[in-house]
Amino acid sequence: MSNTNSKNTKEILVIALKLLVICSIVATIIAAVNAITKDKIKYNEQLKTADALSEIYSLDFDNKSFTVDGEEYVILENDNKTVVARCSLADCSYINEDIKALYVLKDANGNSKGYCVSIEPMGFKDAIKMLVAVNDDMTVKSVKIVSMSETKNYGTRAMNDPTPPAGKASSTWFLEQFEGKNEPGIQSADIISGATKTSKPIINAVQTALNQVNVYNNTIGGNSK
Amino acid sequence: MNENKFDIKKHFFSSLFDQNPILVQLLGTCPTLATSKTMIDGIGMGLSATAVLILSNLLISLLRKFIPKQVRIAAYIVIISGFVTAVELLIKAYLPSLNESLGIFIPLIVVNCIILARAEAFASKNKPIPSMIDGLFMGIGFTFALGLLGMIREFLGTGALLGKTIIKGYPENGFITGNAGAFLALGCLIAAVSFILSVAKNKKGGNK
Repeated sequence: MSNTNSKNTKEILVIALKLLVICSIVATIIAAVNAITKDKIKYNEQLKTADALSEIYSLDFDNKSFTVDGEEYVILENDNKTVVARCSLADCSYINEDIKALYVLKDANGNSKGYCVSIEPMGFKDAIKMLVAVNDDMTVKSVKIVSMSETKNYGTRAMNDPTPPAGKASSTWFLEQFEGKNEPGIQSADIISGATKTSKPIINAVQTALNQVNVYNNTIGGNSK
Repeated sequence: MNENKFDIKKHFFSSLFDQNPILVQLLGTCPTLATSKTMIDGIGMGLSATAVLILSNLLISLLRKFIPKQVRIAAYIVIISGFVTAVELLIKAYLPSLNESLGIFIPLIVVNCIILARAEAFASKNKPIPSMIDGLFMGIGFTFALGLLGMIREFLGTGALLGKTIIKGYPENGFITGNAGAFLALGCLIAAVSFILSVAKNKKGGNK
């Protein structure tokens, strides 16, 4: 009996050791690939945020560098397009989980250039990745959707509406309506008919972004300076 | 000895047509339905799965005498998921736009039954080189079917191919690019292929 028992134990040990060896081989492969791709992946992610940021802000910067929360960033020319490179998440507590980052933008001389909130509210199908730029006077500078996977011809009209409703001239009327508005203005924003479940999260996200900047101002940042 | 009689030409055609993983064996239907919205997505998915197939087949074949029989499935899954993670990292680094459009379906290659099926049915019993070739051919068969389905759905749904408009002013058809359209298009494609295959088989049988 004890002989078969010890034989079983030995068998199980061998199997476990062999599995360990297999796992180690696989882990080594992943570690190697990760080491090669790590920086490139981080760069891609930063570039994406930077790309969106620069669309909102690049026109405002005369200099080729600016600081976000104490860190300096440079504006690069890439394929004849201006992109802001090396953006990182700012260190600040966020009022809810939808908010991914708050950028405090300053030019090279340290003058405030407003704020930018990266926020991802849940849309009809999936999270809508948005950037909300806020001016120093707490009005919305602009709203940009980085990516969304809403229903084509319904939710996607938030970005590009081929048939704008009466009184709205542009196909990007939905996002443009926020520009220059403050809090009460956001609450009365128009909804895309047929795409309520895309419009409402976006409107609420713009509101949340403003609240976030408010919280930042009242705690860490402050307009006291 | 069987290992030496690996007929490359026969193997290639069978993995492309009469043993096609999607159209005949009906393996990996889930990623097929989900990532064949456009031709480029389908081909991207197919090539990612091919890379995983080749690499996992190679490693499983190399370790085929080492992997204990009792835990072979666990070992295969570890190896496959390792390579999927590696491919995912590479795609994120060098093909970010493909990563955007395929999203969650890249990590889900882990549970793609084609890869596990080839590990169990072929790589665990054959030498490394034939196993790699098997992975390549099965991957080509997978990519072929995905690309074909993606082409049909993209064309019928948007009037475009590979993102380029072919028919101007084509009314966009959300049904065929949607989920229900995916099932119907795959069903019709499978029916068409099995019809062609049976006709070809009958002709061959008649000649004998």
